[in-house]
Amino acid sequence: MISAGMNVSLNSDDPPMFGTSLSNEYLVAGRDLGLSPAELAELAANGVRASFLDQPAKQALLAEIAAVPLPE
Amino acid sequence: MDTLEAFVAALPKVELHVHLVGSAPVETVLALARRHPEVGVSATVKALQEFYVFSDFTHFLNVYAVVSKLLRTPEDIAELVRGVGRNLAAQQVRYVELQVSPYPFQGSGMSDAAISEALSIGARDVLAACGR
Repeated sequence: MISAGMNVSLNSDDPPMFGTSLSNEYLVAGRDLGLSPAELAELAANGVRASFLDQPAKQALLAEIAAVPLPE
Repeated sequence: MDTLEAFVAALPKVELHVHLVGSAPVETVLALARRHPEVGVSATVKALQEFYVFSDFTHFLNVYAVVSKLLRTPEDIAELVRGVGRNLAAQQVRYVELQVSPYPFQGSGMSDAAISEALSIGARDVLAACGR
């Protein structure tokens, strides 16, 4: 879906009842699907872009995401 | 915590598809079960954690139905919003589009206005706890 250009974001539906959490879904995407930290940050940014937040709030949150240092 | 866990924990996130009832933390369900013993839900952490373990979709629907039964008053709804909000805020989730179905609450005799007010109170409390 990502390589096809879709705007993919991670969301958790009914997390405790499915034995997960939103953070755990990011870990699964990183460990089991092989996404890099930069790609995980892009998923978080995609969620911001797809949200109902107004433009200034989106820009602020995107800047916060971009400011998180990527691990080696 | 390894480097990936630390990165994910620090990453600001948004949640665009998550259900209020389906997000109920065990601690909130425990508090509601103690508040409403007449519903007959086990009021111990261990029993609830075991009940929460996903086995199949039918069991999941049962868990969902039982938690719904514990939401009997507007204050129960506000308490659940606070519990869900605390949980998400702790994961650096900065913004949530929360799915809420009014039907189980209407079935417990709550008016639409009361449901809406309870959701607003819970959301306001979560934002205040986050300093916003």
